[in-house]
Amino acid sequence: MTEQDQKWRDTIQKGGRKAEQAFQELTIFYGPKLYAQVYKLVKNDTSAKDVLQETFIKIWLNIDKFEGKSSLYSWLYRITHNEALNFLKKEKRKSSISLDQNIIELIPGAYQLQGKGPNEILALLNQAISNLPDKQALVFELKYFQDLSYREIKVITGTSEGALKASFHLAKEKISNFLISQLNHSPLG
Amino acid sequence: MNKKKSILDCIKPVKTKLPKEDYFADLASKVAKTEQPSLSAKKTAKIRFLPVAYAAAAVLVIGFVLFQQFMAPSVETKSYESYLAELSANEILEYVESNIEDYSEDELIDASRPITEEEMESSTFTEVFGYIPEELETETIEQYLDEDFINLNNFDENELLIF
Repeated sequence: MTEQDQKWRDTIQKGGRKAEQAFQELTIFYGPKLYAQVYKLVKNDTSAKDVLQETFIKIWLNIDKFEGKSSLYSWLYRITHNEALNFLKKEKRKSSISLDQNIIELIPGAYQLQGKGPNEILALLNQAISNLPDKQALVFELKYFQDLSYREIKVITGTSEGALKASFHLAKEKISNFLISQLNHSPLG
Repeated sequence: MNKKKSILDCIKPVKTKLPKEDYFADLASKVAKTEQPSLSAKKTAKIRFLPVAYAAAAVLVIGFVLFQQFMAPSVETKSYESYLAELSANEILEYVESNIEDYSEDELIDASRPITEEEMESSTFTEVFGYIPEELETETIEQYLDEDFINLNNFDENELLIF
């Protein structure tokens, strides 16, 4: 856990006016990253905001249970992911197509994708990410989808750049293999 | 050597349009304000629960103590008189002789003084004379009464009931 995370957690746990202020700082810092994470799953702005609100309520009420064994972002990432999945379960929208904006674009003529559309590929991609260990999943999320530098991810996770690179490499490999197996595709040369 | 191409290279993520910073600041205020009472309610509930918890703990402790007492093997208690009855006259005499120094002069005088009439009247027979030896036969008692010119007719019914 980073020094800043610890400060936020401790201040929020104490309650009062300062807790609200610390919580606001935390929300402004992590909110955008979590929004992007949710948006990729629920695929539209209104739903993403609903999920995000529920997520932050959970964070506000349960931050005293966060022991600091992992980075704060890992904890937030897990809560957000679960909230998004719960939302999809309730709304039965897991396979619905209601995009406000594209989340991925496919390189035209990429025969490896077997003519699948962006939504099908995105569903597979999300499934592949769900199968990853939390740490790899969140590094992949921040690097691949949010295009953050390793230095920025280091600040968020408190993990060394070397370890982040290794995690991202492993995540990429696992996701590629998953996609290939699902698309019934042979490894690319 | 060509770098191995990943299937992910065929997919290009589109950067998500994020809400403005104001949205996140408002969200935080909203969450913190609406849920603050729940936090204090949580604490209040804990405080309200305390007396109940203490009462329950007390009941448990008392229950446990009573249970222990109830379950403990009962020890047969013997009265002072019954212990004394088990001793022979010689044993008592031996004890008194060997421990005579433990008694004060006043105690010895008090123990050897004759029983007053007043004490006789206010006390029962067993209180004054201790117990009636079981081996004493009726004939012996009658002989004792004759020798001491004790006439049972001089006693009222209540006094005789002590026998």
